[in-house]
Amino acid sequence: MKPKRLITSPATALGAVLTIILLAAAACGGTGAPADTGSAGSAAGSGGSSGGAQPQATRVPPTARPTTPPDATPTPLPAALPSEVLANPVTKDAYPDAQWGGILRRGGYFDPAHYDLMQVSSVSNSFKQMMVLNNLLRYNPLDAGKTIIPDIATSWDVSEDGKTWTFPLREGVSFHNGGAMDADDVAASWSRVIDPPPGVVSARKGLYTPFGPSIEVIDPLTVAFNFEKAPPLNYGLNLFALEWHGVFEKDFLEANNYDLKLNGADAPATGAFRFLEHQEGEVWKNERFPDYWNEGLPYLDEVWTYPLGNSTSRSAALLAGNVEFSQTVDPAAFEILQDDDRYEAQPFSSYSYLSVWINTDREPWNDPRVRKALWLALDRDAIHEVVSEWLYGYRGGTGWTFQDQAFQLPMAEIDKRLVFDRPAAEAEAKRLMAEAGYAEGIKNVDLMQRDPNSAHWTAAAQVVQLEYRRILGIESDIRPVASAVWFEELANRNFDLTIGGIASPFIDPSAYMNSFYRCGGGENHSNYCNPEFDAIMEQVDSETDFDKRYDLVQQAAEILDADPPTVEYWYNRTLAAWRSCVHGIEGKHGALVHNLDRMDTVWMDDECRQ
Amino acid sequence: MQKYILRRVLLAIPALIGLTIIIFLVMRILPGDVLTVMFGEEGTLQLSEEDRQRIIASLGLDKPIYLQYVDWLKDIVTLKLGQSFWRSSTVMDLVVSRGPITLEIAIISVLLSWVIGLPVGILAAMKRNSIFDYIGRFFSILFLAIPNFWLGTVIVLTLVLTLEWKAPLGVINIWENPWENLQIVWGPALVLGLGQAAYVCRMARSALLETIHEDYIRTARAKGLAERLVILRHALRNAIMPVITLSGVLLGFLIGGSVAVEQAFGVPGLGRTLVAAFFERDYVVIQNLVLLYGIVFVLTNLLVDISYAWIDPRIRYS
Repeated sequence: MKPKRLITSPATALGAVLTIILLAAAACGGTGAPADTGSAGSAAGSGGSSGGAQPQATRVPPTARPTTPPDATPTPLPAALPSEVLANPVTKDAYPDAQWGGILRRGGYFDPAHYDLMQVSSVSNSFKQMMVLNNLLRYNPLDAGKTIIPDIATSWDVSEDGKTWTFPLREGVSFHNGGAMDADDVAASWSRVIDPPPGVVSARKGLYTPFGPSIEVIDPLTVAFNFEKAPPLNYGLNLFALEWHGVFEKDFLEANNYDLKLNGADAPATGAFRFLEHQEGEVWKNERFPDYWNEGLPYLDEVWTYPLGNSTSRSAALLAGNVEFSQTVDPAAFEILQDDDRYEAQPFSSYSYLSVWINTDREPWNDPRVRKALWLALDRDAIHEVVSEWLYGYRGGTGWTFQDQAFQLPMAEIDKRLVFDRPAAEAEAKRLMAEAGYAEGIKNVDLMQRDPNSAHWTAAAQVVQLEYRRILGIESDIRPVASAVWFEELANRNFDLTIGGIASPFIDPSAYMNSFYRCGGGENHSNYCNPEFDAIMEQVDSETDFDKRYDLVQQAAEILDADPPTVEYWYNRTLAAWRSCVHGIEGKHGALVHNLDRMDTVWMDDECRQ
Repeated sequence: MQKYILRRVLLAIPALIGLTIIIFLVMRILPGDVLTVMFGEEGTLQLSEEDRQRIIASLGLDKPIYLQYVDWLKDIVTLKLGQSFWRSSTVMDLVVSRGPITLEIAIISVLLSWVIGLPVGILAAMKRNSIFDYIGRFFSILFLAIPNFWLGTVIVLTLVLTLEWKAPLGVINIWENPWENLQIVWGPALVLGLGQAAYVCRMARSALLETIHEDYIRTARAKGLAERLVILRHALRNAIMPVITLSGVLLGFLIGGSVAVEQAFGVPGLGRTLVAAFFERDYVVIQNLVLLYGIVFVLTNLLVDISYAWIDPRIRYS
């Protein structure tokens, strides 16, 4: 398949070159009068003049971007299908007009650092490797992942006490090397998730260990998971649907000591696609698995993913017709693509937010009044306007649950929150600082900023510095550090305040509230510890009734309102875009990963397949 | 001549050893956690101290610094150039697969710099303080001042937004498909070439201005030689020496210095490989590529010096 080319001859290429030279010259007009140095003796010393960072996302004038999600109706997401409709809706008939064949080319991020998806949390792995896997359950790609459906299991059965989850497996499932899958393969694959051998890192193990899981092979086509403590249904379903975990052949796992970092690219799995080729730095190719258990799927012949690096490159590749789909485009390109009928462009949830983390190990940040003052003093609308130049998303301060999701506060209540009544919020922030003994402010504050190459963080750091100085009299020095250093400094607790971002593996409060805010939580960068909050989370983790659980989550959020662990200012959305001739990408405001990890329901019409 | 070349090569060895020491130490001083690159944020948090030590040992980073350095020197001597931390490729594989396109860009850009810079410099010198001279100097300063990665980004975005065109993705070597290869390399080569042309133009102009006031030029003119012959046969042959020196230096810079331009155009050459290696803290790749750039630089300068004897009969090496 050849992409459309507008430059088809050397003559047009030459014309384009001349146009560009003139454009470049015009763009640089007014540089100043030419100077006659009379000598070029110093020229050699400065040679190639090639230094400089890779281009940042294109800056565009602030536009009217949403500060809150357009759909304010909380949706139970994801929830189990009723047990009577457990039949897998993902079949070849899911799209009556679907056409088979074609190579879908995607603009991706980078080459993966290694080939074991379970051992990493990088989109550089996930968008290439998830499509070769099956898990016990999966997010339904037909409704943007709002429901969880069977995948390699045919159904699930949860015991009355919620401690035993039993999964009957499909018959006739083949690995990519032709071997037959059975319960031993499932058990071996899951054993490295919940109890990895030495040297193997299960990046999401912390989601499972609080519930004390173990695996039992009931028969060749049935596995059961026994928990010491029952996970809530919503949480538990997510545990078995996470796309980062898949079923591999047991023999291959054993031959590689359960470590797929080196040989994981073509490890025998069971997914709709199988690994074809990886040309480092150039392209990753997966091809249709002809013996896939779900007959007739996938629709596509091959999926090629190019490591294009930044969002500007991905946007350019899409606009130029070099790819049919781009994972995250920059906001400027997103606006162009939204207005062009030839493309579809949608914001997807990324379950991540940006925040000011507060080092509670140090004074005065261990004082809840000071943290509350910080939380109130930051004008979320102002920082939203600034950060919107680079990112697309919604303002923070709207509660402690991810927006547009099941546990979100109703929009009417969000609008009434004190933090959005600026005069009142600022007055309260000043009162709290005075009450804590800091009416005159705080001097010499270390404000560590993650990744100076990301302009949105630099801008946010400046807003935070200015707002805290203006309202609270806090005098801070911004200390930009590279991302790798940022993690070292977090581990060493060497900061007062720091700006950075975190993400949740899935959208359930037990996943992200425990990780972000609970005492000892994996991503609790503030080192926040509130026994009252932890006690409520114990109940959240074990309550199986959705309504009761919703109330408990709101109680937990109220505790965080009174004693904030962090100042969350931005909920991210990922901007994805594709050509209109690509179909089967569903679900505005669903999560990107749920739509596009497997690619088995994505198809292209004639225009894209030419 | 052979003795001269041998002496130059031998003299280059201490310089290259110095380079290996500097790049080796710099990479060890750089902050950043290799394990975070390897396992991500969440994964790194799951690592026990025992796991950390085991993985660090598997990467060879647990050895004393001097032993790591000696291991690297052994790899260099045996031409293995080491293996990437993260991938199955050796650095030699990377050089073989990515090197040709980077070299092609460098050579085309040097040729472009001569094709554009030399005539403009000669004409500017011959018509000193004319409107042509002013225009030539204006553009030479302009292209000296413009950062090449910025110009590259402008070109990419302008072509995408006006012609909806961008070069094909991936590496297509010239022997596989010359037309598609040209589409990939012309952009980076043009941007780098324009920058180099500015240097060449200014050097050619100033060298020629100096030469055309020499006595032998006056003599040539007095003999009644045509001005074209005076310039081409007598003045230019002498004025070209500093231009060759400059181009040799610039070629060395181009091979190592196309990093940002390759990034801007998305060309997967050695420059982009080096950038990725820095992000991934892949010491093995970084060390060896920087050493490779050093070797190229030394060899290019040697070739330039040898070319003097060929261009100027007065110069003889012994």
